[in-house]
Amino acid sequence: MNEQLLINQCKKHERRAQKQLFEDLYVPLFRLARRYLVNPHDAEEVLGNAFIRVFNNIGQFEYRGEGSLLKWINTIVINECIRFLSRYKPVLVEEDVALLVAESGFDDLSTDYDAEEIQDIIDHMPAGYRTVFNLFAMEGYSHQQIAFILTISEGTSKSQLSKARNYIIEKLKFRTRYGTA
Amino acid sequence: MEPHEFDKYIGSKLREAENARGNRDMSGMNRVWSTIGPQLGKRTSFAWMKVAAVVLLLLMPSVYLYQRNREQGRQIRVLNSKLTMLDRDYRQKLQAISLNQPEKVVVHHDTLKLIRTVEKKVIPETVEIVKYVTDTVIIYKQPDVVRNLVESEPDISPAEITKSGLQVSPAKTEYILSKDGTSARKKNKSRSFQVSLGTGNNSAQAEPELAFKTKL
Repeated sequence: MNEQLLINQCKKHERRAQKQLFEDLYVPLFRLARRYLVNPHDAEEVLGNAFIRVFNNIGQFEYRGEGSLLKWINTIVINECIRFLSRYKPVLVEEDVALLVAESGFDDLSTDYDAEEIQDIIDHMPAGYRTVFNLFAMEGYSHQQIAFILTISEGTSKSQLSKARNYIIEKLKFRTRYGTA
Repeated sequence: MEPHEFDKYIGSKLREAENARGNRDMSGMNRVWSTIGPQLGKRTSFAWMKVAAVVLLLLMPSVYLYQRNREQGRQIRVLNSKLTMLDRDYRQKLQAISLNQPEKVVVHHDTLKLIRTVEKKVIPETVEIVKYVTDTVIIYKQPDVVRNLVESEPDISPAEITKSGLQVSPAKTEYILSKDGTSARKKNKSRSFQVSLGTGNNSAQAEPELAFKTKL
């Protein structure tokens, strides 16, 4: 079904169109949520809330070409993930920019790591590192945008990103040397 | 490797891992839909809300009238039961009068007011009226005696002799009963009257069968 037609039907709250959109976008959105939340059940919960927000607010959405809907929904899902993470404690606290960690060790890395291994490292990374890394490296947000989304300073965003990179590098080196920890 | 290349490398590896999971990511789809599905009902439009408000507004007087009708119906039923009760009481008293037992009649009915025997203050040889009430009934065991009394007493008017009693309006009268209790004499300076209570009624001796009540 044409995306625009589907959107218009969803705006009329037609159940069949809503289910169609849900089925079309469930997997990519689940994977998106899963990058921020390690537990798949948490990702499902967040996805449920996000879809409710999508269908309740789709009347305000303006179609701006192919992919604009997914981008809009992606933003909602990410916001829901951050809201979920902040439910019990803040994802990130302000950091002094002077504490910016020097990034090093990129050259020592090989390029034949197993995907599951990297996924495992990301899953075990502190939530703050993971959130900033995902926003920057996976979604392509700038530090300014990340700072706005997470209500932190740009310096904190940069610091968290370099810490996240160093964390991954260290873990990869450790695994190279000693195998899976 | 530059940092941005590192990010791309990690990103590509993560996507690879996601693709490797394949259909496992879809396992919760039905569960999530069944959770959110019931919450996605059609929203009530504002126009419908206005229509509903108007309908409610129009219904309000009807509801008020219905409530009022119910309340009045309830009051009518209560009054009806009271009337039935009074009517039954009235008939019982009437029956008591018919049986010539005025001393048992104690209730003032709306339409038939009767004298209570306790209202008589009996002084030896005298029946003294001590309480005065409007529209009362004097009950005699012997209607003929009453008739004679009324005919000979101009102060008592108008008089209506019923089957078992006499309705009198207003006069303040005192009567003196004879020693043998067979006659009564009006105690009045200017006028006096004496009437025979007749014979053949033993109760007249035991207790004068006169009950007086007059208007103040």
